Amino acid sequence: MRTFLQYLWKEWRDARAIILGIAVAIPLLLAGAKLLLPSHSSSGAVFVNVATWGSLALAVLAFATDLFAGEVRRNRMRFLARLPAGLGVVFAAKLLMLLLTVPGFTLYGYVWSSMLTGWPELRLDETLFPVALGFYAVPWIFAASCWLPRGALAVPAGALVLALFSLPIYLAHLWFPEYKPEFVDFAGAALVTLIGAFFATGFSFIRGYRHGGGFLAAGWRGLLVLLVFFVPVYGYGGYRMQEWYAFDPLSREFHLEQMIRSSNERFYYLTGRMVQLDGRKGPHRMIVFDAGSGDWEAVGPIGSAFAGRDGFTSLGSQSLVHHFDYQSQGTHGTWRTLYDANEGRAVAQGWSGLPDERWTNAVPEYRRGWRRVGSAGLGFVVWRKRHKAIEDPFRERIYRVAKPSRIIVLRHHWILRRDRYDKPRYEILEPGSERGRPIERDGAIIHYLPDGRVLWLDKEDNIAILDLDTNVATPVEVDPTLKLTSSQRGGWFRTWNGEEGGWASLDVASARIVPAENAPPDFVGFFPNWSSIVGIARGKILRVHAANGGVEQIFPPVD
Amino acid sequence: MNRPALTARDIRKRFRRNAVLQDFSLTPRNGRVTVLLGRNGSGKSTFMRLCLGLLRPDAGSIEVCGEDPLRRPQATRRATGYVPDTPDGYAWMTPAELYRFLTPQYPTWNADEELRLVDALEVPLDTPFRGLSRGQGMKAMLVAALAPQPELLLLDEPFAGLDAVARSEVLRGVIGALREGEQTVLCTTHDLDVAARVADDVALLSDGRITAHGPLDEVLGGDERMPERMKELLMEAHA
Repeated sequence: MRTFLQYLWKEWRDARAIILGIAVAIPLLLAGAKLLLPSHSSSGAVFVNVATWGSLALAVLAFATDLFAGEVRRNRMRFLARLPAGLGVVFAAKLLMLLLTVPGFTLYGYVWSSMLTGWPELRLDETLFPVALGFYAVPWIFAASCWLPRGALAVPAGALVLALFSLPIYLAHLWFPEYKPEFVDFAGAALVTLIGAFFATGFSFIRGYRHGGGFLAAGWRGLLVLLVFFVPVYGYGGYRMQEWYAFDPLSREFHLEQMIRSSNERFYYLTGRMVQLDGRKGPHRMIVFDAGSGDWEAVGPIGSAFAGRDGFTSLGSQSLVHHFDYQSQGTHGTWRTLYDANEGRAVAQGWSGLPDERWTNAVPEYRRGWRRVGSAGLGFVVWRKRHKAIEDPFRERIYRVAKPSRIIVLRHHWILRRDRYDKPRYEILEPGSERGRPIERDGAIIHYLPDGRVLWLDKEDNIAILDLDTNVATPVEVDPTLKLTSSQRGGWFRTWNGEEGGWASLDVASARIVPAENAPPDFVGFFPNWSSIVGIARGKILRVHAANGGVEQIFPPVD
Repeated sequence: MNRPALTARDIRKRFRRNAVLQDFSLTPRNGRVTVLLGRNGSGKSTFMRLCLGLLRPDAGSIEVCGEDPLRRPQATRRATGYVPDTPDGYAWMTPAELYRFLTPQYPTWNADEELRLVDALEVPLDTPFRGLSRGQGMKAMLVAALAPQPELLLLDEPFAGLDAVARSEVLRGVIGALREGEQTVLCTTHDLDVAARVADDVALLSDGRITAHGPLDEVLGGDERMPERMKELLMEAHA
């Protein structure tokens, strides 16, 4: 320890004048800049950030470039090398000197500039990037100064070495622009290479100058050690990239996240990603799956996703879904490809600035002059210029009405909903009319059954099947152990038992709601109908049949 | 102590195509001053650096105080005092600072011996090396080499480049500082006058190998032949 302290003292004595000079120069330079620069340039956080960077640069030039090169220039290496302590302690003292002076003077510059500008709030933004980059460059400059006879060359040489070893990483970025390493990978690589730079400096200094070698002997040893540190970084980076690009929708690691289905139930527009056992996720990938043939096709650029309001949308034959390329977002808008949902093929593509929702909800020209703007029960609200109307698919007609959004189109009749004092009131309409027979009952329609009846929820939260023609309500028997949530679609109910929850389905014939034992509790994104429910569970598409509770895997297709 | 303080066997060392030492073997007698005589560039300093482990021989072996200087450099350097041909420390250092800097590295550093030598050689302790004359600087380095009481003292042309007065001072210092029979000294020089005044033994280095090694009288031919032989060697050295 005494030996190390003596070497540290030697470093201090060697650099004492420079340290004192910089300690005086920084406040003088900053005060001068504050006086001479226009007030808008010399106040605030930007001035502090620039001053901090400048102090760092000054410290780097004074110490990182000269701690080794100074010894070589002044022919002190023989003296240091012949002493019993060897060169290891010399390196340790110089390293500590570097670690004290460079961050120390950077902090010194920050403190002085902050004092001169009234301690503005620290801006953690891109203006700090040069400071971070400067700190990352310090060990490289320090290393290069050990491999050169002149410290003045250490800055370009350090940058050159860094560029040389970063070249494979840059090329990988150039060739695989989609790949975005995770922050932890990026930070890990930066840390390893930083340690590598310090280690290479120490090794090259101690071994290179040990047996009479000069800066060349030190240089090639240092570069060799850097290679030893960088090769695993390249290897790991390549492995992570390969893992990131890996794509096998049929493997266990592939997890679906979104599902858009064509209304003819043949095509599934799927978005998913590979999830490794340790939880690391790959980029989003898009697949068009033909449930009829079992074929699937990967589409779109890596990292894109099919867009939908909630990712689980059913689209009709005239509807188009799209994907968007997130990398292209910006001033040009988004690159979109439109699919004919029921045909499973792309029909158009181009740049668009439209919000995603407009592309799945607003559909192109329906009939000459008319546009669809939304759904109305089983029908559609359409408009032509200022005229609003209802398109009734059962009667294959368009009826012009004043307030189509309140009308629900069903097979047997229309229903008009009016809300009074927050209570819904209903009228049964003949198609095309806007006044009809009211339903004299308190409660709300919660679903429409295929046979023209509706599922009715009364004030006491009892569920019944209501015949609209006769106003007769058939109570639905609910298993008392089931705790139904408000979420229900197509005769399927989510249940909640305090743990994972589950599913129950309505048996219309017996007017009972029975638990679907085999339906996965984590079923998300589901398409229910009266006979089955299709959804994503554990990354796969599963169909649960209401009749027997059987589970069928739709995707990946099971041979 | 039976083992020799320094043994070099069949050393070969070349720098690129220039073979400096070839089949170089030398074992100075313990407790004696051996002067290694040779022309400039004959490889004397190279051998010194090999002894300190600062160079790696291409072939052969060296033992310093029973240790391989390449394998155990710290042990050999602690047992060896070395005086270079010119003060090679830091110009801003004073001799006192140099001794304080070196003390922790030598467990055998003797502060009393340091003071005795400083007094004897009249070393100005508080003047930086840049303010010392060449002779004062060399005497300060001699104190640094002797204060740890090394078993082997290597003097690498310490008198080269000194004017007559300074050389005489340093020479007197060296002779006065050496404790009779306690240290093995290897001194390289091409100065025959120096050799004649300090040497017990002389080793002649020519063409990279030791061509003669023995007591001063034997190698230089006794009192009658010595002036003539010295003249021959002087001619050879300055050829």
